[in-house]
Amino acid sequence: MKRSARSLPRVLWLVLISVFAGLPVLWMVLTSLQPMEELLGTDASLIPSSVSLNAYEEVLSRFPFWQWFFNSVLVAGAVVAGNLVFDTLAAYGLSRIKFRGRQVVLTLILATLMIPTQVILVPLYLVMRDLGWIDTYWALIIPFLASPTGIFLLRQHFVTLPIQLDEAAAIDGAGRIRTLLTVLLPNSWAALGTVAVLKFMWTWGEFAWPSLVTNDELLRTLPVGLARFQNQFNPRWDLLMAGSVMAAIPVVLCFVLLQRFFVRGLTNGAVKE
Amino acid sequence: MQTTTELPAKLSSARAGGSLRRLRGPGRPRRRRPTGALAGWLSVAPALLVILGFTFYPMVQAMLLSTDRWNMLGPKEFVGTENYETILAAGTFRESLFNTLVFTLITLAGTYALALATAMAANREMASARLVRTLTVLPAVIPMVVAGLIWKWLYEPDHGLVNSLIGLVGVDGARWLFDNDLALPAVALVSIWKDFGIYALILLGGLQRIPAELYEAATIDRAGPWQQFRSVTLPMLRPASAAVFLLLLFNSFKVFDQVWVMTEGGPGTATLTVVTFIYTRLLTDVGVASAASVVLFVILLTITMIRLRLTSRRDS
Repeated sequence: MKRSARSLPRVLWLVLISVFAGLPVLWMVLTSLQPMEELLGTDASLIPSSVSLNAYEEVLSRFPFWQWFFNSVLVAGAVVAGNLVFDTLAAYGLSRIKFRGRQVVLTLILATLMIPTQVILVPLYLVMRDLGWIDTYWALIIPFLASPTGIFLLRQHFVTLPIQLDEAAAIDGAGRIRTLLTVLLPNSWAALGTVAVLKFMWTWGEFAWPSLVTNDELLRTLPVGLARFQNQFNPRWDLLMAGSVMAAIPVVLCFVLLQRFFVRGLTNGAVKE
Repeated sequence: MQTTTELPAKLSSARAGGSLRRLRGPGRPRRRRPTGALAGWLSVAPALLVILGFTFYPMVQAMLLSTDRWNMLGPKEFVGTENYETILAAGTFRESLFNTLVFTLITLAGTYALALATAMAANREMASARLVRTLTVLPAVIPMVVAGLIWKWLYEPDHGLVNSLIGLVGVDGARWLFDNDLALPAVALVSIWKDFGIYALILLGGLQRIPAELYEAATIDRAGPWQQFRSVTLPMLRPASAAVFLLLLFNSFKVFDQVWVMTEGGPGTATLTVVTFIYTRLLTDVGVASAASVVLFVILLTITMIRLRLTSRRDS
């Protein structure tokens, strides 16, 4: 390697930047495994001298952690499922069926792309209140069952599939639903995966909205539960980090398993959206 | 299959979604399938209802509410532009707007510099690119609340890792999140940490699209590394950079989660951002919160317009 000398700074930089990215995560895990007395010891030891799972046990026994976990899974699962069905249907209609008003619908959906939830927090809260959905799962799920982003990503993909595929299916006597299920979807795993992964991660990490519409402790999702238990027990870093690890594991797993989709989805979205 | 591939392209696209069973000859005038409208509307209806009811309608409501004075309990009182005058005159909203701007500038500069350096290093070191990609993107996956909590612990004045590391070099640590001048940059660092990996990926994609011949030509012209960077890399990277800048702008203006978890806007109003401002007024001062939302929306809309402008200019 001729270049090896010149690339040494590069390698150093990559190591440095990986440490910067990874160290806080490693630190979270290490903290969660240390007893509180040791964390607050005078000589803040960088490496734990003893490892214990006490913090995890305490989180699980003192807080309705599994209930929060269940809530997060239920909400994220329902939102992902809803988006896969509704967004796919809409993307299909908008890319494959000619009908009066299609352009209007498309424009409208593209226009909503740029309305972030933060801007509609107030009135959306009022809508939930009028529907009597405050402190129910409905408030966490129904408003997010379909998304302009998902429709947009899936439509972009459907448009690239040749129309001849549909026509061949039609000749074989397949109706629209069957064409969608047997012809388009099998060719769209990457796009569907992207939408599913992105939706799952976003919903799992959502904080402002669920903490606004849920007061019932048993309805909290993980991030809300975590954030609220830090206020009550401010100095218990071992518990907070143990809870953080458990809240992060599902998304990290999801990321590791579906990394390709995730990366593609994010970069696609960045360039196209 | 045979017949379909032989169809003239124009005809087949005109019949998008139509059944071929009614097709009798390529020259036949096209006829709209009678159930097309119904099927079309049925397919978009569920998504459309959700989006209209829970995004579009609330957006219109936000605009209407911004002209009222209301505490969510008593009757609404129409006050015209008073809420806007209130928040745009001196006061906490102006501070939150200013803080958001400073936060955006720090995040933008920091993230872009780190992302570009990482992308350029990973671009040449292909073997390590995979590992680096996984490690640097990992923070982006972690929920923002968790990221905020991790860093709140790292910033702990007495036992946190940041001050411990600084102590190793013999420098006294700071009370990061409790210091009026340090809190905002400290919170911005969390955003930089969380997202630079994603932006590095976008920039890496841009770098890999630069033809190698350009660098060869530059080398022949005896351009040094710095000159190559300035006259080849940066200009060729402009589309990717534009995407990164606009995404960063857009996301920075919506910052809330980590602020709320780490400082709740404090100390004082040192880290109060626009969304944090909205959040604190949400249930007591609906009109003011709505007016602030509309202002935020106008800012984001402007950013989107700039984005569209840049994209269309790039295309033409």
